Amino acid sequence: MKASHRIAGIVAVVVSSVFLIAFTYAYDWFPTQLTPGSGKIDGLYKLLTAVSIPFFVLIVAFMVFCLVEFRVDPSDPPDKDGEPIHGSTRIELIWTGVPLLVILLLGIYSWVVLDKVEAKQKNPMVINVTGQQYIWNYEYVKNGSEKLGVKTSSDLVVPVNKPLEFRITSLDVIHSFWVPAARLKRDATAGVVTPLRFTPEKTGSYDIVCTELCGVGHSTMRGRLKVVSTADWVKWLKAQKSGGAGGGGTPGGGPDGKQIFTSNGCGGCHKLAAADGAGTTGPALDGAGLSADELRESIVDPGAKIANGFPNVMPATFGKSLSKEELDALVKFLAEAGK
Amino acid sequence: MAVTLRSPGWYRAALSTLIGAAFGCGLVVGLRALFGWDEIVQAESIVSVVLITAPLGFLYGIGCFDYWIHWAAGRPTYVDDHSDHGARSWKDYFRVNTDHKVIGIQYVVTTFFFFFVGGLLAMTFRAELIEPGRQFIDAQTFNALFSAHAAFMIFTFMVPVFAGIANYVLPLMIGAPDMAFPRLNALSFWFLPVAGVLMMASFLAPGGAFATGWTAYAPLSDQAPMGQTFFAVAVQFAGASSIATAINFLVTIVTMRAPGMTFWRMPMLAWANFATSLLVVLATPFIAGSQFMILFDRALGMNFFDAVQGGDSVMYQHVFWFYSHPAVYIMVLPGFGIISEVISTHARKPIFGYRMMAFSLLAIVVLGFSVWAHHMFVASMQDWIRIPMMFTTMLIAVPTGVKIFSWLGTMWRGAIHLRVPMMWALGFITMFVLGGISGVMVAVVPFDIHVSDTYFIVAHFHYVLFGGSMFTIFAGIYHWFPKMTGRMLNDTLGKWHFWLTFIFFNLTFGPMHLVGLEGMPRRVADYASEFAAWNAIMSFASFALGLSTLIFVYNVIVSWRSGKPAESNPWRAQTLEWQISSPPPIFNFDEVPTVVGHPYEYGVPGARHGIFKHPEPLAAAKAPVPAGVGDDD
Ligand code: HEC
Ligand SMILES: [Cu+2]
Ligand SMILES: [Cu+2]
Repeated sequence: MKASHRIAGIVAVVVSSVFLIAFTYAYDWFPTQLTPGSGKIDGLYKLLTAVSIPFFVLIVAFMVFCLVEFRVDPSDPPDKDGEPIHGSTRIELIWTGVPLLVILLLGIYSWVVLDKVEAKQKNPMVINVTGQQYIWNYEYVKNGSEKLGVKTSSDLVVPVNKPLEFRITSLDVIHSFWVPAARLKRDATAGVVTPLRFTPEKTGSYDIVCTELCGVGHSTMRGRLKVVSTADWVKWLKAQKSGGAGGGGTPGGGPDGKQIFTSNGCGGCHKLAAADGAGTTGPALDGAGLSADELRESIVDPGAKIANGFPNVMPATFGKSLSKEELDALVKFLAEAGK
Repeated sequence: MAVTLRSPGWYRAALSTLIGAAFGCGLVVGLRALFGWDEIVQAESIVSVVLITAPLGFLYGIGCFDYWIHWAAGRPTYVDDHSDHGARSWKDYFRVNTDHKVIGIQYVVTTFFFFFVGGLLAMTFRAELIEPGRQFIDAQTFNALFSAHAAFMIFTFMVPVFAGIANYVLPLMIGAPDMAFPRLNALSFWFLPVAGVLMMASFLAPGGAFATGWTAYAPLSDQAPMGQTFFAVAVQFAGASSIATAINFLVTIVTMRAPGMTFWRMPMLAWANFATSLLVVLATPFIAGSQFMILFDRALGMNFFDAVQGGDSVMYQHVFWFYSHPAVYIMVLPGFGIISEVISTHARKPIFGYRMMAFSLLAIVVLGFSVWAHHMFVASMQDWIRIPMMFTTMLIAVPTGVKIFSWLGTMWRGAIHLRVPMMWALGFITMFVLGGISGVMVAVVPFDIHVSDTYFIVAHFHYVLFGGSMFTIFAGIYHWFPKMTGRMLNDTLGKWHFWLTFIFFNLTFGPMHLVGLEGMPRRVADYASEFAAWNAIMSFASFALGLSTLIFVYNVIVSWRSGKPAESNPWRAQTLEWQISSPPPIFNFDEVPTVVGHPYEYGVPGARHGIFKHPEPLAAAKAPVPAGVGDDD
C-alpha cells in the first residue's frame, strides 16, 4: 500500500469519527426534557454513543483495509495462503484490557448518573398510580405533609417544579408507567408497590405510555401528564374536590358521563362518535340502542352476555372501580349517545 | 393396510395421534367424573392434556420409540442393519432416520420452513403498522401475530437451525461416524415439527392464538384464552428437543473425536457447540419450568403468579430470563463458530488467538448466567440487583470483543477470497458490532430505564439476532451447501441476496432506534402519529427484506437440483469434513482419520490436520460400521 493511501485511510477514519460524534451531539434524539434527570440521561446516551463510534469506525476501516490490501487477485498463484500468524499475546492482552477499562469506567459513571436521577427529594407530592387493564388511576395522597385525597382516572395534573413521588402498582396484569419526557418508567405489578420520582420543570402536556404488554387494549393505554402552574393546580384541585370523590367532575354538577367514558379508556375499544371513541375491539356503541339495564350489566359484568363475534376481553373491574354516581352518569350518557 | 398401520410411518402416526388424543380426553373426563366434579367436560383441562398425549401418539406412530419399546418390553432387539441410514429419495426425509446427515438436513429445511412462517407473520403486522390507526387487523390478532412471529423465530428457527447445521457438520469435523446417540437425535428432530404445528394450531383455538408475546409474562398469560396453552406445551417440545440435542453434542464431542484430536485441536465450530450445549443443558430446564408453572396455574389453579392468592409474578420473570438471557447466546455462539470457520477458510489464515477464542466462548457461558435481570431493570424487583447485573452485562462485551478483534486479526495478511460466505461473515461483523454497541447501551441502567420495552430494544435485538445470528446462518449455509448437497450454489444470486438483505435489513431495523428513543413503545397495534413516516419506511423495507429471501430460496432449489457439481473441497479447507466426498459417504469416513495437527494451518508448509489410514484388514472384512455405532443409546 502506498504511503499516500495509508494517510488517506487514517484521515478518513478520523474525519468520519469526528463527524459522527459531532452529529451525535448536534442531533435531537429525544423528546422534550421535562426534568433535570432527562438531561443527564440524554447526556449519558450521547457519551456512550461517542465512545462507541471510534470502535465501530476502526473495525469497519480495518475490514475495508484488509479487503483492499490482502484480497487475492487473478495474478496470484491459485494455492496462495496467508501468512501463518497464530496470534500475539501482547495484542490479545491489549484488546482484552482496553475494552475492560473503558467498560468499567462507563459502568461507574452510569452508576453515578443513576444515583443522581433517582435521588429522593424533600417533601414530595405523593401520588399512587394504579394500572388496570387499559387505564391509569391516580390517587393524590399528600403534598408534603398536607393530605390531598383526590382520585382521578383521566389526565394526571401536577404543579410545575414540585418533586413528585409516584407509588406504582396494578390491579390486574403487569403494566409499565412511562413518561418519555422524564426518561423514566417503572412496571406496575399487582402485589408490589414501586416508587418513581421526578420533578417536572416545564409546564405543558406530555405523553404517558404503557410499555408492558397488558392485553388487547395495550396500545390504547396512553394518557396525558399535564404540568401546570401552581396556581392553576390549586384551582384544579378545588374543582376535583367539589366534583365528587372520583374522576372528572363537571363544575357544579355530578360526574360527567362523557368524561368517564373517555378517562376509563372505553373509547380504546368502542366506537362512539359522541365521545370520540374509535376502538374496534368491542362492538360499536353508536346506534347500539341498549337499554339502561343492559348497559349497566354490560359494564359491571361484561362476561355475563358476550356480544356476538367479540372476544371476552372487556375488563371486568369497572363495577369495582367506578362509584355508583359515576356508573349512573356513564349509563345515562351511553343511553343518550348510543341511541 | 394392516401392515402399513403396524409399521412405523405416516399412516400409523395418523392413527396413533387420534388414539393419543382420545386417550387424553378420556383421562381427563374420566378423572373428573371419578372425583364427581361439576363440570365433567372442561375444555381448558382437556386441551392441556391432549396437547401432550396426541403429539406423543404421533411420535410413537412415526416410529421414534420403536427400538426402545422393543428393548423395554424384553423382546430381542433387532440388529441394526443401518438400512435406515442415508436418504435415497426425498421421501426418506419424511421418515425417522438416525443418520446425522439426514437429520441435519431435516432440521435445516424444517427450521427454514418456520423461518418463512415467522417472516410472513412479521410482514403481516408490519403491513398493519404502515399507518397509524387500524388498517385490517384487530388488536387481538395483532398481538397474536407478533407473539407468534417471535415464538417461531426463536423456538422453531434460531435455536434449532444451529442444531441442524451442527448436526450435519460437527460429527464430520471431529471425524466421528455419527452422533453418540443416533436414535435420541432422531427423536430430538421430530419434537420440532410437533412444537411448530402446535404453535400454528393455536391460531385455530377459541379466542385466537397466544397473544402475550414470546415472553408470556404472568399473570397476563395465566388469564389469556386457550391459545396460551398451545404455546406453553409447544415450548416443552421445543425445549426437550434442544436439551436432548445438547446432551448428544456434549457426549459426541467428549467421546467421539477422531484419534489425535485433542480439545486444542478441535475446530472452532466444535468448541462453539460445546459451549452452546453447556448453556442449553443448564438453562433450558428453566423455561420448561416457567411454562409448566403457567400450565399448572391455568389448568390446576395453582396460583404461582397470582398476587391476590399469594403468588409472585416477578418470580416468573426471574425464572423466564434465567433461560432466556442465556438463550441469546444459545442463538449466537454456534454462529461465532461458523464465522471462525468461514473467515479462516476464506482468508486462508490460522485463527488469530485460537485459545483465547475458545476461552472467550467459555467466559461468555459463565458470564451469561449472571446477567438475566438486565431484562428487568424497570420491573418491580429490588433496586440493588440492577447494579451488579449492569456490570456483568457490560463485561460480556469484553470476551465478545476478543472474538471480533480475533476475526479481524485472522484477516490480517491473509489471502482473502471474497466469496459469498465471506461476504455474509463480514456483514455479520459490522451488524453484530452495532448490535453489541446498543447492547452495552441498554445494559446501562439509567439509559435502559428510558428505552426498555421500546422500539430501541426491538432494534437492538434484531441487530443481534438478524444482523448477527441470521447472517451467520446464511454464511454457514453458503459455506457448507456444497458439502451437504454435492452442488455449488449460484454465486451471482448469492451476492444479490447478500446485498439486498444487507440494505433492507438496515432500512427496516435502523430507524427503530430513532422511534424508540423518541418514545414509541414496542408491541403496539397503533401508535402516535409523529412516528408515522418512519413506520411507513420500516414497513416497506421489511417487505423488500422478505422478498430478498426469495432469491435465496430460488437459488437453493435450483442449485440443489441442477447446480454445478461440487468438488470434495471447493474452498481448499483443512478441516476433516472437506477431506471426504461431497456429499460424504454414507458412514462418513471410509478410512478412519487420524488427527495430527491443528485445523487451520494455512501457510504452514507441509502442515496437515488429518491423515487417512486405510482400515486394518481385519476391520475391513467386517461391515464398515465403526465400533460403538448401532448398539448404544
Ligand atoms: C379491552 C377493550 C374494552 C374496554 C376497555 C371496554 N370494553 Fe366494553 N366491550 C368490549 C368487548 C370486546 C365487548 C363485547 C364482548 C362482551 O360483551 O363482553 C364489550 C361490550 C360492551 C358493551 C355491550 C355492547 C353490546 O352491544 O352488547 C357495552 C355497553 C360496553 N362494552 C361498554 C363499555 C364501557 C362503558 C367501557 C368503559 C368503562 C368499556 N366498555 C370498556 C371491550 C372493551
Ligand atoms: Cu400495556
Ligand atoms: Cu439478556
